Amino acid sequence: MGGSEEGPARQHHAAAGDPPPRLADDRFYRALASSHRRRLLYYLLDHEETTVEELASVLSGWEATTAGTMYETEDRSALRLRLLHSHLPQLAETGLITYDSNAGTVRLEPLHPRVTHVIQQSVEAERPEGLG
Amino acid sequence: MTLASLLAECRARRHRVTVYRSGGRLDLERWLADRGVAVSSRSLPAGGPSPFIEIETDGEVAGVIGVEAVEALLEPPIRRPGDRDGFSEGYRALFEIFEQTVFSGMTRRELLAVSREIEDRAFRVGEGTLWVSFQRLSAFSSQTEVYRALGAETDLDIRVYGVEDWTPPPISGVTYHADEAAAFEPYWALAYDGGPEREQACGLVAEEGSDEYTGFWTNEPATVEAIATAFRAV
Repeated sequence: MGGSEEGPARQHHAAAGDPPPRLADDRFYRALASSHRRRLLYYLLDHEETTVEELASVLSGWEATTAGTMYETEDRSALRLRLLHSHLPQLAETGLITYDSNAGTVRLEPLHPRVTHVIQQSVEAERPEGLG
Repeated sequence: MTLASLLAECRARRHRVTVYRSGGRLDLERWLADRGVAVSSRSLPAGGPSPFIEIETDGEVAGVIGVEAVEALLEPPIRRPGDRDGFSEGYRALFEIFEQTVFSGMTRRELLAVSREIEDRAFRVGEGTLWVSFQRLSAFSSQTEVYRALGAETDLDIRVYGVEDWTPPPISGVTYHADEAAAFEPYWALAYDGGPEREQACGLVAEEGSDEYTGFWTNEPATVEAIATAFRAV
């Protein structure tokens, strides 16, 4: 109803077959240059919105199960600090997530299926079967 | 401080376990829930990490560890002190992670595994004092071989407490306290002071109910000292 106020509509109809510009963006690859950040994004693909605390737990558990060790209080705290001061701000700046530092919530931005695919592949290749 | 008050103090601490997994309910969750531990679960993506648990004590995360590493809880290894064969690092880890968590519905086998972990530390350090209660000394009869080895191969001062319903054999390094040990009656308790290595101090306090035990183990020197004090008071 009523006239559109948007003026000339921007073209958003990138066909599923067209690679999204993000795949040519250096910042995207820098964002993926950390297994913690790749795992964090992978977890968000499944949960969409979560909290910093839960991410600290998930990444600690991921490390602990991969290395076959226990993550103690200090290990998890160190990881949580890296999330707060490095990983989350970087991912937010790249536009992959929104991060509310007051509420401690983290939400995945809508991603192009091809971007999602790259994230999935990068994490799934970690598994021993993927090393074959 | 009595063993009863130590147990009550531990019971007052709030422990909760969050299980992260991608599939259905795990045996470990059932085991923990059956033993009175508050358990909840969160889902993991199918291609993500192997299942793991996070343990919180009074709202603080105490540790995060893979489920595979703590499955020894369900099938505790019973081994001789100092025996490295079949030694489970996982069992050591869960001794750390469930420190001062009160478990109810513990079986004799589970407590024996915890006791062995304590005896093994004492064996490896080889010095210091080890206090052990056996409710009745006849219960010690199946353990004499283990304690003979502990006594012969270490400089430990081993003090065995229990109601004298059986005459134990003399074992070098072991002294028996059977006089008023009835005070230990409902308890299965051990304390090792760590000798020269205080960080190796550890202990166990479990109260026998009908056919099962409720208790906790500890790595905290101050708590171990409190258990030792209860022994000394006898």
